[in-house]
Amino acid sequence: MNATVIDASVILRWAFEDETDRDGAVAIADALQAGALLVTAPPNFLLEVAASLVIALRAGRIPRRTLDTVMGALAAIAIDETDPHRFAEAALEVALRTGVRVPDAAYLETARRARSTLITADRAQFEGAMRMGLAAIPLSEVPARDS
Amino acid sequence: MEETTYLTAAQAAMRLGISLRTVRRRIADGSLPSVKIGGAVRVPVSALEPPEARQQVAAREAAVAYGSETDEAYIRRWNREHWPDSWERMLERRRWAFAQLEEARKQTKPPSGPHDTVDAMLNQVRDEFGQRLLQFIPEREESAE
Repeated sequence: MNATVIDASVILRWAFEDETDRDGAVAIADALQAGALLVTAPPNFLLEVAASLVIALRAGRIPRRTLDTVMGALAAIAIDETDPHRFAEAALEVALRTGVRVPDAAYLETARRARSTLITADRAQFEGAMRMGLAAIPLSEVPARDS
Repeated sequence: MEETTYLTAAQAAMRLGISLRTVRRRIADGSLPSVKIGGAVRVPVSALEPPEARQQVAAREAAVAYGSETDEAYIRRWNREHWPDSWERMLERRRWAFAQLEEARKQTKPPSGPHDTVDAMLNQVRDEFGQRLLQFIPEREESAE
């Protein structure tokens, strides 16, 4: 699964304490730092992360400085963006065919284009990948670093 | 001797299957080798990983079990070969980024309930975003498959 699409549910677990399935997210972070993963993301990836951080800010879970730090760090991780050619049309088609939400479909289309394995903590996202016949792994099944 | 061919950033993006913005970023940070020819930035073909090879690797790796040292070593070697002179710099940048995230994480508060976990926040974002986008999609008649 070294060619991967990692969705925002995984990325956000790097930035928050006390979340479920954090071991898997940490293992993926380690693999990224070691250069053991090729990662591609859809265009909505950073927007989703940013919007979630704004919700967290409003809920009092993070201070403003943390929001800026996380966004800056994500930009520095240098995750490839997917090929944008006719991407929106393709993602919408995936959404209509599989019944998943449009943002979820963007990840599925990215995984399809990059021939990559989707890693997600989002159950609906994972099931959508299964319906499309894509390789996918729930974050809960990613082994922890020491296992 | 084989003649060197150069590509524009847009051509390189197409060959690599990534966005033009990513190619420009890689050129700017040096992770994608480039040269200036008459003031124009060009990418040598030799610096690109062939899309066929990339797809073959991706397909092969998709079947590989996560956590295998052997396969991680293989990917490291593959990446080194295809990101000449810049691989260590990219890893260094990633290590810096995760150190930043680790520091940021210490400033976060735990969720006060199931309504403000990461999953709940992201679901809210995706629901709203998805609903808004669907408003722009014209209704279509069901077509026979």
